[in-house]
Amino acid sequence: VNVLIAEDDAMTRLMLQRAVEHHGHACLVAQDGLEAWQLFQAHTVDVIISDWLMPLVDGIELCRCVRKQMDRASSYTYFIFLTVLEDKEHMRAAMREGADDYLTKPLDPTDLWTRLRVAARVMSLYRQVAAQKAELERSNAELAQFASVVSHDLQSPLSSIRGFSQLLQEYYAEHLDARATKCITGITDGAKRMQALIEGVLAYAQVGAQTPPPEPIDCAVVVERALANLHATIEERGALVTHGDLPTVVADATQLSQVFQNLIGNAIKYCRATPRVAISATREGAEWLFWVRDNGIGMDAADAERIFDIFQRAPSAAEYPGTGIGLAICKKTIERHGGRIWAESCLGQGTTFKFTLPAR
Amino acid sequence: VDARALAALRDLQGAGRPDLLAEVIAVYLRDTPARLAALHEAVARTDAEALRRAAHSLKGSSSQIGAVQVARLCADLEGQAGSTDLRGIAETLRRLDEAFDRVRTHLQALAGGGNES
Repeated sequence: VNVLIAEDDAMTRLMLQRAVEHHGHACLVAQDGLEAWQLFQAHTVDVIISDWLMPLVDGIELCRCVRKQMDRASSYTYFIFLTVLEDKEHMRAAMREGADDYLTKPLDPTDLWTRLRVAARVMSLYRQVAAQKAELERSNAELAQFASVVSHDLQSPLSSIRGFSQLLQEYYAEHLDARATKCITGITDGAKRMQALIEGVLAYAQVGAQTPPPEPIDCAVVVERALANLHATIEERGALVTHGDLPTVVADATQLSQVFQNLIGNAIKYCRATPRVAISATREGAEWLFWVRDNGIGMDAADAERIFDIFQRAPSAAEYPGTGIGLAICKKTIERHGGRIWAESCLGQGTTFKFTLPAR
Repeated sequence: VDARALAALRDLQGAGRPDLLAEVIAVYLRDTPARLAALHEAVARTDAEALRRAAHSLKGSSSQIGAVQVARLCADLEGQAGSTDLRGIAETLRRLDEAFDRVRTHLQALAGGGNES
């Protein structure tokens, strides 16, 4: 490991340096906190061993600066304080300020070596975590990029298919018999479904990407917005959508509105009778529990879990149009807000979708 | 001088640093007179903060080399700094000078012996 020593006493510094080098570790030495800070910024430093009292910048200040810098850079520096044995309060204060360990004067080299072994262990764990995090971020970004590129690239040939089938129908209307017209309609419908799928995948990939920071929002307003978007469907089906008192939560208003829109939209779509949808919320400990209950076709309890996976639909929904993406978007959104979502249902008995959001 | 502290140094020395003990002693003997002078000066100026700092740092290096009595007297000074007991401070300082003289003689002999062996 690379060690940086900050110690104003020449003798102690020399001893520390020799003890560190003795085990083959690289060693930088500074006579005060300021010099140490400059060395820290110019070199890769795994471990800092710092005295408490030093001219210019003392150990505690050095520790604060190092920790602040660390929050920005993705590296870890193991900070060991050096203090006289009886200064217990110094040790406590140092650990509070972010030091990892301490050594007492008079210094015992064996203690130092033990500390360096611990530091090496922590560093190795930290490097593993950092490497995995970087890999995860990279593959997530790649996936989102992939979804968005694929979706965009699929749009244009799809437009060609739709456009040319439309032209076919227009130019050759009088030459086509009923069978040919049916085929062309089949092509157009398929293209429309595919368009919906692509838009859904795109929306799914974009959940959580570059969103504004969540702020307190009134769920009643959010639900009203969803209802306004569903206005045409509600009118067409004569649906009755009601809601009780709804709380204020910290969330992204657009995304949460999308969740309500998907859930209410589903409730209306998967229904043979006149749709009745009831929305309510109750406080459960540190969370708000939301309900969206319908009188729709319901599903087997076994399917209730699966339907939140992308492209998965309940068999009972097969006769209705749909992409199998809406609930996946709901799940991703709710989980990104620190909540859970699930469905309770019986075939033919309606469904209740429930989700939680952290209360402030 | 406490032999245990020096034993730790010898451990390091035994591991392929034949000159370490002598080196450390040389640095201590080189730096300490200036520290003592700083203590005297701080007392003369009745600068409690400077006294506390100088005493603290001399305490650290002295305990490291095993100069137990010097370290203890430094701790006393740290405690006395800021008090109005000027005579007490002067007395501690005088005993500190004497203690260091004894340590110096001892360490010089030790460093000399170390070099010969």
